[in-house]
Amino acid sequence: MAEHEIFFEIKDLVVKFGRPGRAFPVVKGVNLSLERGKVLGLVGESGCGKSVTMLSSMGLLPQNNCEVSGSILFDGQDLMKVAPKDFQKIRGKRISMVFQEPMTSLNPVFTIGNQLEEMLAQHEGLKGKANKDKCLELLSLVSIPDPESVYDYYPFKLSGGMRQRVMIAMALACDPELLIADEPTTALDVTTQAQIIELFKDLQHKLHTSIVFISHDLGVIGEISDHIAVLYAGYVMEECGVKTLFQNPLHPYTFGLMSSRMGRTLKNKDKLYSIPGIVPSAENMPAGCPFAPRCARAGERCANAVPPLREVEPGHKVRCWEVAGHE
Amino acid sequence: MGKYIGKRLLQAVIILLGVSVIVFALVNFIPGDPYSGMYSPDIPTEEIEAKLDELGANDPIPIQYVKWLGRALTGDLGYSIWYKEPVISVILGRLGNTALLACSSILVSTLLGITVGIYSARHRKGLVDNVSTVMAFTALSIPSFFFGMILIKIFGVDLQILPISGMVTVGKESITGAARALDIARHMVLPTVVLGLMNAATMLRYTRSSMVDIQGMDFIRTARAKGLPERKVIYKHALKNALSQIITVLSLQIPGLLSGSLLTETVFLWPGVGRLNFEAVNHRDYPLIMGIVLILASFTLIANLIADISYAAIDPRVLQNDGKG
Repeated sequence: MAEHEIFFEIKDLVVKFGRPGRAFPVVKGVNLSLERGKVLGLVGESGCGKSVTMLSSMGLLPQNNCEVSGSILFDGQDLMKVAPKDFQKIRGKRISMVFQEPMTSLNPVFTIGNQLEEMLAQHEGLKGKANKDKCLELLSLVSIPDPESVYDYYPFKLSGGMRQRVMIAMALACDPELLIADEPTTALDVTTQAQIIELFKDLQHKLHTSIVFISHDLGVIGEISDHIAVLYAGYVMEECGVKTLFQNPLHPYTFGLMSSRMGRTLKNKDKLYSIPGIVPSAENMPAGCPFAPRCARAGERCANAVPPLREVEPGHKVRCWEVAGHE
Repeated sequence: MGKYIGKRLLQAVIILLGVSVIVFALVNFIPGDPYSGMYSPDIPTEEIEAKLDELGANDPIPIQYVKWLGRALTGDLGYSIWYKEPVISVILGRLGNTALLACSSILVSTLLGITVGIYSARHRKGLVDNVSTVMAFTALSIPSFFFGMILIKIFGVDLQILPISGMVTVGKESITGAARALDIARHMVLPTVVLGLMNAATMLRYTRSSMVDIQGMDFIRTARAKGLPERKVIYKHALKNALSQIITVLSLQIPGLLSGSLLTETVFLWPGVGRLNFEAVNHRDYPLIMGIVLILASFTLIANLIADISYAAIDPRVLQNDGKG
């Protein structure tokens, strides 16, 4: 295995929702790549296309009202061209996903054990005691106390944090090469959030799984990622290493996100900053840079043309006309 | 679970007692004397009074109720005035026929309703979905007796391939074995189609709508994300969640069918409980009416009890919430 091998790559991904002919683009040519064993963070406000991008990598977008184009290369294979039957063998086995809503993501009428067990039976062919042992091992891996009992529990007996641990155990069941975590801490309270983040960091340390971590919380993303892509209205706005992003954020939107999280503490009673305006809806997208209407630095050019994503320094890409380097 | 079943059972018994009070009261409010048709006018009044005293007909109403209930508990539902035999044997003689028809039509409606319901939910707005929706609403809007008569006209009169009424061919009552079974089966086809299709329409609509809801749930996305085959996603993860809905429909349909579909049985002259009920009302056969109502109420309660137990067996949250409430 090469040291910096890029094994997961999204190229020119475009996702449109709606009826054919009247479909609105939600993801507009996203390019992302991930090296083996690394963590890629996707950050952005709600509705910016983070989840849709990753759901399309799982082939889980609703089929009846969306069009997807571009390519998603996973270990040399274009997932967009994989037959549904073969995709089943990849989902859960080689790529798995943890969702945002732990309270509703487990089936209420099957036991935790059953929901874990069927996955191992499906992909690994494990049966009987070997299967149960593996399930218990997974439950302990995600620090669930008393896995023996939890194995026979129905989801309603578990708290949100515990359910999310079960979801993570499920996602890790078949040693996936890629784990997609879609805002896994958003629905949890702050202390549980911290525990789950610790768990992810710990697991990443132990198992060296490559992770795509989606969040709208820069703090969370900063803690876990190696590389960060900032998404806005279906575009990648800025992409760089985690240190660079926190030390030298270039895009005004990233700036806004940073300012929105820093500041208010017990000592500092300044009002929490928020970026003015809201994300434009897919139907009313401005012609130029989608962030222009909310941007303090926006000039004339910003209103007319979407800026390209440019590499302004090695490993640091920005989509903005106003950042130095554009003539 | 045991406590839950016990609680439901107790509820059912209490409701049944309530039903028996209502049935008894209603029949006793009707003026006149149910025996008046049974004796000839030239018997002296004193003798009639003496006999009525002996039978307990002149006792205070509560005493009469307790006596009647005591007899009912031992299976003695009284004596049918019209049929001149014990009510229980009149009803049992018809119940088998009704049960036969009920079973065959439930089989048709459940199989058809659930399979087409699931298919339509998976392929919404597709051909099967649109056609089955129109057909379901048609079946629900046509009165059953009219639908039955159309079938009789087409298959019995015009095409002459199926018998139009009854349960056995007239003149062939004495045949036995396979020939008899076949004869009865031929007579069952049309009433089964009427009852089966009407119930299938309801079942289809309920199955479809609950499967559509469930398909949008997060845990179905999880099941897909786990790489389970579509068959497992639908028939394991989605269907088990839809089952409570299906059981609810069944628990409403089964007592309805066992009580004998009055109209369908009458149109097809099927010798079942539904027609018996109709005849009992026609002949003012009070003991028989009381017996039928009581037995049908028991069926309804049993069906509900079974449904309640099934809910708990399918979804453990039911037991949990029961403990709280």
